[in-house]
Amino acid sequence: MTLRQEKVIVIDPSKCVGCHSCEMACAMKHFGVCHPHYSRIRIQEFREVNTFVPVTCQACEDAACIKVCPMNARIRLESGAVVTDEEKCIGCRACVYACPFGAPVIHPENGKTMSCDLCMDDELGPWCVKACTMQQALKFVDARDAARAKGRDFAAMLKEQNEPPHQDDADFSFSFSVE
Amino acid sequence: MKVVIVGNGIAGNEVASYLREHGPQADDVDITILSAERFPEYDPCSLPYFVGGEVDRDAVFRKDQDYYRNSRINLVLDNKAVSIDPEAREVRTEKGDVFGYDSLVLAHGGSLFIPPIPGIDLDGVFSCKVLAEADRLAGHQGTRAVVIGSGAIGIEAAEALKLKGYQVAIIELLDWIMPTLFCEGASRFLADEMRGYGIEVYTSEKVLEIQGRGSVESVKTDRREIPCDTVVVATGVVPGRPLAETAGIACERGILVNDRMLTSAADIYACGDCVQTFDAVSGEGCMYQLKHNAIEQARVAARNILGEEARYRGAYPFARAHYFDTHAVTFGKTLKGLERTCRPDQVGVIERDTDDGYLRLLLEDGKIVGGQAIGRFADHAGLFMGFMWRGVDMDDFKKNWRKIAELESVFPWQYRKAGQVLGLSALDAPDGMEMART
Amino acid sequence: MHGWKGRRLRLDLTNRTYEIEPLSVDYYKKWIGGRGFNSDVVYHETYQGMDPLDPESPLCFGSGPLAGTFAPLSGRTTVSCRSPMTCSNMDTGIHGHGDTNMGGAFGPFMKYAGFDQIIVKGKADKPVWVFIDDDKVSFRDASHLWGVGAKKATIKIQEELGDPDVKVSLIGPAGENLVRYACILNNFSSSGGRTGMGCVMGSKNLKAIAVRGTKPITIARPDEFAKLAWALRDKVHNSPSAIRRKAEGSMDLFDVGNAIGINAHRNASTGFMPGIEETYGGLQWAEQFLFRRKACWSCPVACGRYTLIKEGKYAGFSCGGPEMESVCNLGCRIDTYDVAAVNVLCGMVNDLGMDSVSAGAALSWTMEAFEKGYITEQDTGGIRLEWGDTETSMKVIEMIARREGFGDLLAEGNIRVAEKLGVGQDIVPHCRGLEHISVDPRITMGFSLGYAMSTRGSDHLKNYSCVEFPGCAKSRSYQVEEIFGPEGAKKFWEDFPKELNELDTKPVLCTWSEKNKCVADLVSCCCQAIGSWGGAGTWQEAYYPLLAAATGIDLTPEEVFQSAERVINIERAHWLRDGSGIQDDTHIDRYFDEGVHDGPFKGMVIDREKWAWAQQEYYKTHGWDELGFITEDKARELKIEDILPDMESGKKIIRQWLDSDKKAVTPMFVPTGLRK
Repeated sequence: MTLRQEKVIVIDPSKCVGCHSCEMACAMKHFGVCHPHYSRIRIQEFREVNTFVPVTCQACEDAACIKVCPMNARIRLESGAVVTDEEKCIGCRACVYACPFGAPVIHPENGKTMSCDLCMDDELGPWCVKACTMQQALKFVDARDAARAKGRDFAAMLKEQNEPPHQDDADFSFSFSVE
Repeated sequence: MKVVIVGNGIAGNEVASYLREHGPQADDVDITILSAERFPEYDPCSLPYFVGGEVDRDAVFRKDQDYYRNSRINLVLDNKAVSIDPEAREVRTEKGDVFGYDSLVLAHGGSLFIPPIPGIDLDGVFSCKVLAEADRLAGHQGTRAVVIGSGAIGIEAAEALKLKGYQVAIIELLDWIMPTLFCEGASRFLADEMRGYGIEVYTSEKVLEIQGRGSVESVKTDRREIPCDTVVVATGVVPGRPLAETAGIACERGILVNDRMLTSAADIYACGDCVQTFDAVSGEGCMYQLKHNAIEQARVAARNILGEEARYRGAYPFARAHYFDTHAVTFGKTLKGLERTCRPDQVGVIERDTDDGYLRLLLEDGKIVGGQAIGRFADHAGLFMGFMWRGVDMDDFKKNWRKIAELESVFPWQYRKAGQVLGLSALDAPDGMEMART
Repeated sequence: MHGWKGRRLRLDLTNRTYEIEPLSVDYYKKWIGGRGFNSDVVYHETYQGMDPLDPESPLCFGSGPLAGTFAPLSGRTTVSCRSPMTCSNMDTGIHGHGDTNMGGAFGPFMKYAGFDQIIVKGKADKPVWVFIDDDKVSFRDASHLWGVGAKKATIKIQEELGDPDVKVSLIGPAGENLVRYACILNNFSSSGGRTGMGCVMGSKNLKAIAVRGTKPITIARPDEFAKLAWALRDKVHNSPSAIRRKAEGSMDLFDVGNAIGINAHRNASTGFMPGIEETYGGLQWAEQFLFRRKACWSCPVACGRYTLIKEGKYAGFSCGGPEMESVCNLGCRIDTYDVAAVNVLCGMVNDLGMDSVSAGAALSWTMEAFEKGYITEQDTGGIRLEWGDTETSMKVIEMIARREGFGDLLAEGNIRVAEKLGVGQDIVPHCRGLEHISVDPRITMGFSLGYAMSTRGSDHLKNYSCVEFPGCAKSRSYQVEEIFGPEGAKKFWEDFPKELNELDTKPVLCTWSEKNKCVADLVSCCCQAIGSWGGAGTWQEAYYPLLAAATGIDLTPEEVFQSAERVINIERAHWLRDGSGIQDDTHIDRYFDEGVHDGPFKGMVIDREKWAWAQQEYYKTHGWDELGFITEDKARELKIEDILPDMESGKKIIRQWLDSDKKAVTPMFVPTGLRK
């Protein structure tokens, strides 16, 4: 799989502390209000084992959401980000179902979907990443660097796990890593 | 290199644009698209929403004329390809034009199955598969509609007409609506939802006749007669084989292709709704006429045309059912589909039914091969599709899901999430607290 | 309304009904936020002599205008009620205002559901839990949750609702069994420990409140707000002390405290523990036990810990926390070096739902009482607690929570234990019945005065006067100037660093810190930001502009400060109404007579004369009279005239006691001349 040349948000859940600052930043940036449902990045909480996973659009190269959208409303921007064109979206949620991360989320006001636009060209960069300055669970890096940094490339790894396997790829079974 | 693509649909255009974007010497590839229709590329999936007035007509188009011009794609409209001469490497059209090719791509999709019902040609009978028909339907003034067939298109057409203010009834020949997509339980729930929105749903009913003088006046079934002024036929799509058969290309239900999208004839590729491929999980022959499969097949075909060794991973069923406030999704096999190919002892079902959602996962030998979800569970369907690809053994999963995301490891969090979604309790095993106290 | 939600929720458990009460802008201007609303309700809806466990006693959860917003460190919630734990030294039956502040995410979610405050009254006939789903409130049976630990109960509730994002505030078995220092927890292990709010919740038969909220908090001037919040976040991101706090958690204070010998070692008789580098050192601790950090809502620092013991006897044990205070009180205080066991103790105390400070104090009091021969196994039903005995401690902790055997007695809090047994009153380190935290009051005079004056009892988080610490003062010299003025600052630096042990500057410092801390509580922000590591500067730089941008109501800083003063006064009035004034604003005799045993400040005591002076001086900075009562002028200035009749009746009680020859419960220093 080849990755695009653009910058991507890379997630390291082992560093996430579940403060939800990224969600607050995202909601603030896009809506000027504060609530996790208004954020495009969402933290999956497993607080009972103190594990948190920030989930945001990874702008996959071969994005399932683009392929399944009946209205062709999932579009790729110049920056590489994949977003929903709200003019066209009919809120059928096909992109949510098809995404291995469940990254597109429901727009709380109009029921359409929305996903990370990398804060377009805001001079601060993606706000969620900036909000994570101290914990470094989110990083905004060159996609090629991200692919090179093995083990940290959460996006590529999970993406691969969740894609239909190649027919000639026999050893694709996923074993339980921890006992 | 001269590439001729038959069909200006999703698959055909994907081949063309892929060739243009990725061809090593892009300008050397001479691309021609032959279309039986009069429009630039549009998305058939969008048509019901255009009919229902949810979006403008412009929104159904994926490309405009400028695109073809700028990409130097020769688009031949309203000129159906009728025969192929594989020896001479030529395609002939209904208007008598002849196009020579180095590679030919058959991407003309399928045509609507028109059931042999008396009165099917009356005024006021529509389909909703092609734009010309959708235009007619959108411009039609009626008050009562009957939709024959309850596949995805039928359901969406029913919603669209309901939104336009029609009184709508759906008639399904089989025992439940969307019979190929959903199992009985989910389907009955979805039918009840439809009724809740004021749409009449009749299953196990056969349409005998569309009655009327000149234009439609009623639909007669084996159980009732429904007065109406509009009929939408949505009884499925048959893959377009005749063109391929003129070249002696092997066909079964659809055009047969290998994992490189190559047909039995040299340099003739096929992709989209017209082909018969194999299932990504089970490998058995299948025909899932869905957009994402068409796109993936088209890309494989295009890469092979460009000389790459690309292989197709196989097709998979994935569809959503969305109308008004109901959200549902299905992927993989249904129970009925599974029972056709498996012994009863191989089949397993995991089911959850709560106030705000329904989830059913179908297992073959303990591994997920399909599932359906409604409401809040639908948003997590992607997790279980991932499980399907990876072939996760659900018995192991049930035993270990809690351990999986346990302290030392974060990956894969989807297991823990899936455990939550399935309503497994994190309290089944003793935790740190109990250890300390004993 | 922006920032605030404009409503509060009143739950009546007796009738299982609820009422949504709209609040006016004037009300918000008067009380600003969580602690303000709470203090108002707790004062006005209770009466002199009321039993804190009376069903009609209002248990309040309050959060402020910045809670749940993008403002950093804004995840705090204040819980207030009349406290069953704290009491007057005249009589353990006299109670007053109690409150506790917890992190986690409960306050923000209360606001997402649309409420700035939740008031719980009444008593359910059998155990219930309450589910608040936006505007819908349902009362649900909690019999299956009764007796279940905090962590398990939270998971059960979340699984019952099928939503792991529901925020649950609940009590553990200790609260159910009315342990007087039971705490309330949310987010599994973020606890509001002090003053026994969990006991009140338990007395109402309320196991838990779960909240799901879907409504956003709107911001009056979003662009400005975002800019300010970023500026503050940047300040935090770049603060060296915040970075240290992130790495070590609040355990970074342990080394500091031990170095100057203030950690409450051995029942707070001394403060120095030799050779802790290998055990209690901040980085060492993190290396040994830290599994991963956790954070309160919207906090970039994440000082919260999640512990996993990797090896040894307790291998595999995991729990949320511990925080430095818990470690100090369940480790240092009972004199153990078995740090793994300390983690287990902290985890147990959390899960059972108890205040770790008071629980540690109960253990350490028993240990010292055994050592001194005050009690024997006959008093304890055969249990013997020796210094550093962690295993028996675990048993006793469990017994306290279940109120079994000797635990039943210890569950009453040290002051009542000593009173009932008739021994050991002299070794109960407390103010207003609450055992003091792990800073020795003989050494750090600002904290010392703070303990005595605090309406919470002996706790530092009301008068958080950390500027007195040499390190803090140096890194925040601008604050010194702000507090004392140019002249005072000069004098401050002359005495520096001996300043720590002097009372001269402390009345002014205490009052200033008290108001600052109050503002942090009012807007629902973490006091640590402007307190111990001070990364965010003073509240005026940090939170005042955010408050204005969020609410769109441009209160002047003076007005906000006045609100803080109003809150402090009404809380004080609550105690005064019941007659607890000057005679409780002091320490036990021990700290005036017995020198620190060990450490750099060995031999240090509080000077009686200076203390009496400082007391009066402190009253003066607040504009109170010589008995510590709120004057008519002050009440009018703060527009709380309605407290004046209560002041009169309170004065009668205190006079009566001073004129009588009734002994105090524990021997405490009362300035000469007050009593006959």
